[in-house]
Amino acid sequence: MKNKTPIAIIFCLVGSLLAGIYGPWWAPAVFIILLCALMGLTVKQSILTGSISLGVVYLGMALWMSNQDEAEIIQKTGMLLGGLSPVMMIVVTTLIGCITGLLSGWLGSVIGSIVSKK
Amino acid sequence: MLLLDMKQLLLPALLFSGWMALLTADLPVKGSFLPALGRFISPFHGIWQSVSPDNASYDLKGQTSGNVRILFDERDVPHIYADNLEDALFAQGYLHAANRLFSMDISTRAASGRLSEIIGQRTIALDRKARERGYEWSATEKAKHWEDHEGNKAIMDAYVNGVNAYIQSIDYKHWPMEYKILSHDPVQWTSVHSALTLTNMAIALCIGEDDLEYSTARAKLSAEDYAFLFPDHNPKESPIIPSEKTWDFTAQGSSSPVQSLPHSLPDDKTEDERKKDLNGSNNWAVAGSKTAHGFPILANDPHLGLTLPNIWYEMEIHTPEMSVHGVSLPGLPFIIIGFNENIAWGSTNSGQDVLDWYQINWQDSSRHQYKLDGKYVDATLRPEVIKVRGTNATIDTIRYTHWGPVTHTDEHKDMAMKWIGHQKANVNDIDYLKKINKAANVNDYREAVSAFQYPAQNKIFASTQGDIAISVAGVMPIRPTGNGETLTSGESSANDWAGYIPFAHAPYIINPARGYVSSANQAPADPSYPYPLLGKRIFEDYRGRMVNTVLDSSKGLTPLDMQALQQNNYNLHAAELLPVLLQALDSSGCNSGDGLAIASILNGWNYEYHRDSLSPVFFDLWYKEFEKLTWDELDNLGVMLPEEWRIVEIARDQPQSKYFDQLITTDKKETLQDIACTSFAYMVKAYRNLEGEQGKNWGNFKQTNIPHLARFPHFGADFISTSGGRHIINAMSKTHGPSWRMIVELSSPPKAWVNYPGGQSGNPANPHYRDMLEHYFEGKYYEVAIQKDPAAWKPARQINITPQ
Repeated sequence: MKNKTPIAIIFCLVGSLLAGIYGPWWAPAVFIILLCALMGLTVKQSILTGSISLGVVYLGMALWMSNQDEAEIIQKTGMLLGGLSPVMMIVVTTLIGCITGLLSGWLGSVIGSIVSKK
Repeated sequence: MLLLDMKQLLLPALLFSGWMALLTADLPVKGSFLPALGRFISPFHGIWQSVSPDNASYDLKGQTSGNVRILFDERDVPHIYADNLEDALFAQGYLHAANRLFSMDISTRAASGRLSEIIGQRTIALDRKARERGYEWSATEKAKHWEDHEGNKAIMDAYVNGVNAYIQSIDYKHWPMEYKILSHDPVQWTSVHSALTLTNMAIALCIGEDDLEYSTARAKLSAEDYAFLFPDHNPKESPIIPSEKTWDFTAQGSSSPVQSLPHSLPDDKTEDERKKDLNGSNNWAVAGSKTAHGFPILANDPHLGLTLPNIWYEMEIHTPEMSVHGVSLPGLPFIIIGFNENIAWGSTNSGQDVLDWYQINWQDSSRHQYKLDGKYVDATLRPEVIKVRGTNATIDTIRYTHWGPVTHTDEHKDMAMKWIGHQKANVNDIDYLKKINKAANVNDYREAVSAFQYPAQNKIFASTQGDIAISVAGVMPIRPTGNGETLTSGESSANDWAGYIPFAHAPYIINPARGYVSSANQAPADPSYPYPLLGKRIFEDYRGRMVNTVLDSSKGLTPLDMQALQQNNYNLHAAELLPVLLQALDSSGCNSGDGLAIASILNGWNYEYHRDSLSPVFFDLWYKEFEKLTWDELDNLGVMLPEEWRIVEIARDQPQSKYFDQLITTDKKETLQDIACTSFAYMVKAYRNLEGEQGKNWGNFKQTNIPHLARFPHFGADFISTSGGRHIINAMSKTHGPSWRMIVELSSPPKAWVNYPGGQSGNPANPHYRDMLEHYFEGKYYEVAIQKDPAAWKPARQINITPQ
């Protein structure tokens, strides 16, 4: 397959969602490392896959949960954390998801390339 | 090649590790801590999951010896149906934890001096005070005593196991959100934690001591002035036990006079801080002869600091030996205030002085030995390590003496604290709860309250058999004459308490001729009572006088009348003082302009503190300034102010009193007229300067709010317009008020009307977090009755627990 990125993103979306639901908070990061390593993605592909996937999963989940109570609790928590609005709370959450995914993907890609060389 | 690969790996590995480390650490920010963001912000685990209304697993199969059914009504009040008492208490512990785990944790941490472990340096002073006072030590002693008592041990084990069953069933995702914000794990519950819950109650009830304030007053005032300003009894008082009661015993204990130590002492409480505490509670029980339906009616509204979640958790418990409904205190088994099929009971605080201070004379600056009965004896030194989040632990050494722990350090003039909570650690206090929950008649009630071993409370009672009663129950020390009110010398054991007032001698009355019993924290008995009772300045008499005035003149009372009386907003203090002030103002001729209009409004006022009324705002502002100007001499000396009824008496009877003369004017001798005039002018100006909507009405002026228990902003109720206030039966103040309103008609079976400000859930995301608030502040009640047959009603949800 010439461009593995779209399929990697789909795998990554589903996998990190399941890892998030059933594993500890760091499980999606481990999943992305393994996925990028096993699929032999390039650094660029891995960074893209990891950051987009985990960012989207975090964003989607945050939107889903805040919709449960019209963002009331998140609004109050944001106020407690220095006056963050619900939108900012979602932005921060998504950003943390993106960065975690990016770094996991990058690491996974490098590990994958080292392992494949051997 | 390998080296090249490793170099390639180094940067992403370092960045990934650094990022994950950053997400795993709690970060200090401006004296507080940002929780570890990795798990906190994860939408699968962290704060996002806290929007879920219910976080309990309810997987309890095999944890009880019999079957337990828990049915929840539409307010989420659980009705526990258990095969035996232990299983019912297991379920109670589980439900307490599922709904109030953080409240239970934080309140016991406050009592044990362990707040700093989770909060940091901000709470070190609070922790130090709790450690100095030995609260955890006394709780540990109490828990040990429970362990040694077979009946209590089984009860406490069942309850503690229930709490821990919940704690073990939840992971981070399901933690109460406060734990996530503080990044702190819930800890296993033990019987010491439950004992600390009781200690917390004892601390809250122990407000009847002003030893240091009285010492300063005695030191700085002449004996004549002291007696004038601080008399033992209000001539208008309407005590809890009516004067028809005769005392057919003489007081036990020593009567040898002991020299108290007039001593000028630092007082860290402002007058406003003192008054803030003095909100008060009410209870009364009316005999069938005074009610419309011929059944006794009991009413109780204990007033406490209001928080979200509320201090109480309402529930109903059914076992083969009892069916009981009421409020429980998370952290403790059983119902605290409530009713069963035969009786109803309630409490108010008596405000008796159960804490004394003794001056310690150390041998030298090492403070290892102190003088007692002519020789130096060793103090017991106990190191206390206060763990502080984010920094090094603080270590204190607490010195225990014959009197108790030494808490105040003033070079060699330290003071030791003798407190009922320390003296009465080894008692079967669970017995009181067990017995009162099962009580079936007035004899059972008296037996139950005889086991109550805490700072005295006014325990009220009514039964379906037609009896009513009130008992001032609890531990009341017998002191040598002159002792207890002020600081006392710790050099002689003759100054010690001479025991406790025997239960048979404590004030009580059953079925009085006047057809009702009542209490509103006023004096327990008139001066004919053989024992001296202290705590006189703690609560004023106005609410008690109002309750008794209304009940004296009432017949054919209904539960609706009782609801109205609990929400009565008439201010007797204002009714007695305002006419005197207005007359003085009128005769001074100093009133003009805006003032005339305000005086006219006040002249037509009915003394009702309704939230929509403006008159209470005028009176409140005027009175505060009038009081300040009148007692300027005392303020200048650093002496506490007299009770507020005293200023009414002086204004009415002695308009030329020297206390009206102002210190700041040397060329003139002011009188009541002058002070009334000056304070009125101040009030007019202060009213004009009120900001925003504050001057619109009493509700806006008072600004009642209910904060979150841990004072998290926005998780409480920020502003509620409320009626009532100080000296009023509906003593709703800014953050204090009726924490539970209960009215029980003792028909067979009894019917009750209840409400409290809050909701059943401690989870801010749960719809039951504050669902009763609106109803409560509209003055409405929920009708409840004991539902003995679980099949006879349809629950909103249910949990079934089956044995192995």
